[in-house]
Amino acid sequence: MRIFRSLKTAAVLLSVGGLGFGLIGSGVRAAMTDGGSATENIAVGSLHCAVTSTDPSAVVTGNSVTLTSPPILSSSAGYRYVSDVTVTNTGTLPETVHWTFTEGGTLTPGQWSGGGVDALGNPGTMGYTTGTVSLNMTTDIVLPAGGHQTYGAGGNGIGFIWGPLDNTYLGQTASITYTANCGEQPASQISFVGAADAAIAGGTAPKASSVACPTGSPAAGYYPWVSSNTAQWCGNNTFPVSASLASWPATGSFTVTASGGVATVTYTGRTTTAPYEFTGLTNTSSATGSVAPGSNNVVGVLAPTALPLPSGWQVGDMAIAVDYGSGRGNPAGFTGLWNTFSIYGPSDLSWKVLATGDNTITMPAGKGTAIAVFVYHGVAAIGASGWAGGGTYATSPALTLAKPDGSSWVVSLDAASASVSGVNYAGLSNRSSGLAGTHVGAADTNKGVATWPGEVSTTPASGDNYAVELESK
Amino acid sequence: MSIRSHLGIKAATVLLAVGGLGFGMMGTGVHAAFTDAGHATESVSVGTFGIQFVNLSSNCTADGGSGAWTVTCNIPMLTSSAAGSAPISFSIKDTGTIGGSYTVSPGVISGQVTGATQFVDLLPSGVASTPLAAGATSAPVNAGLSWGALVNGNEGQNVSVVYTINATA
Repeated sequence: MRIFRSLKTAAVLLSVGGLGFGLIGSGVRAAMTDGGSATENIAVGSLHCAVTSTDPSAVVTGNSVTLTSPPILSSSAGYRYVSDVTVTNTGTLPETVHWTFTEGGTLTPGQWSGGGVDALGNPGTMGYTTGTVSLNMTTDIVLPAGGHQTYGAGGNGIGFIWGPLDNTYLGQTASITYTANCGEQPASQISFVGAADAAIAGGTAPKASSVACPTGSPAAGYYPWVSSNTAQWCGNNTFPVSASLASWPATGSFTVTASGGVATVTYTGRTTTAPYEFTGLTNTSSATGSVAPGSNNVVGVLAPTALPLPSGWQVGDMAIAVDYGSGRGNPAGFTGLWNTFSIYGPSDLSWKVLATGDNTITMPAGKGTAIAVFVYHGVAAIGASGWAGGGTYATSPALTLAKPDGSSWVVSLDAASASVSGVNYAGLSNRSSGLAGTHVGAADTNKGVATWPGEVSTTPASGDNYAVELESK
Repeated sequence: MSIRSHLGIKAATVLLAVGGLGFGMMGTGVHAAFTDAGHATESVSVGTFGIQFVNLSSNCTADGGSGAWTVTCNIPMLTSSAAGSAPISFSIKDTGTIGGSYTVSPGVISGQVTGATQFVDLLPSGVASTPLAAGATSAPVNAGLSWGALVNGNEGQNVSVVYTINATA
């Protein structure tokens, strides 16, 4: 600023001088000026990779490494692996590595394994390998800038393997070239559309027509299951119970029969076909102890709950529903992904590709607390998913992504008795803070990722926690 | 602060003019007379004029000094070959007490690569002379670059676009 003032002073003096000359002579116009420039700089990244091997028999050329079969001195089956093959990202951008394999040498196609038959009519027995089960070149990977991946380390899984050889192989040669095709990481087509939730309908008039047995632990023992007009306790159990309802004995055995989709519950000589709800049931044979009153111990189902969808959803969008406090049953048309009858929930996780008319989806679930739905656009499929329960803080479990090319999003979903709608995972975008209820939380990566190591939030909540991979279209 | 120093200079100029007149009167002869005298002083205050860049879009920072103010916008490295754009915006504020006008030149792009996808100026006509009142802030100047799908020839490329802003009172 001090420099600026000095320059201004000089400008004023020049201006006064010019005015004086103007009065005297030809006239000089002066003006106060200022200015500057605006610059935008853009750099474009680069994609390069290199292939290396510490094995002296491996011949590296650019992004390729060629292995030539050693002299084979026996007709017996055998193998020859090289020490290792490594691909390194030498560019400045993350890149996807896709390997291709080219057979070479003098062998005919029929002499290669899977290539047909050789001149003697025998199946081809010369083969090559692409790595171990867990680390195989046939799975595309994403390498960060400067990153690398080694296959077959320790002479394990990269090279030739062959079965018994016949005379057609005499004097022949074989080679295999592994080529790393390094390209741009595919852009994710996924975007978040919105979220909505509803309280699960309560009441005391359940219908026992479509209750699914819970999975997880305990797997059976709590619910009557009526399907295709057959009825049983889950796991065919009858079980001792205690009941708080005064007019019913405290202990005994239930049986359930079904006809026309209506369950008949018989208990110690008393039979009812009326919708009925048992409260205070206690499973005396399970190590997990008592069942929480009012949430897990409903015989039958309550009135359906309308499943809301956020505005802006389109046909083909992916909807993910999470209910807390029910633990059994998914919204109509939804595919169950997790049905968790844990001590933290229970809760359900399910998904559906939305179709015309889905704005009237209902959830035929039993007594519960709340359900929330999260809708995403541009999702091709559900990939990996995982569950983690308990803990001090809501925790997103680690996943091995089904599509680790960097285009998948990961959504972390939480269902807990504590408030988790504002769940905070560092680097993730919360998607549930605007919900009316607080028992369901969601946050996503808001971008494609190649890995998901899991993450612990800063939100205290011991509940059912899920992570779901959304594969991009 | 700068106005005060201007006043000092103005006062000196007026005093010199009055002194010249006095010498002229004395040159015409000497007369005895009762005299009284006084003098009138005219003070002239000259305003200030200058600009600053404000309301910068993200990735942009302002710097510089009078006559050479700068806005520099560094866009994160492009990691996709997809077509796109990197719009930037800024406003020009008259920081003085005198109104004026400003112009913005079309962008001058450097770093284009022959045979590769070309980057395009988002402000190809610049901004014609536009009045700017004292203390006022201009409408946003929307500039930047756009590009079509990038090809291998664009890898590692560094592109810049420069706009020149002139302001006159």
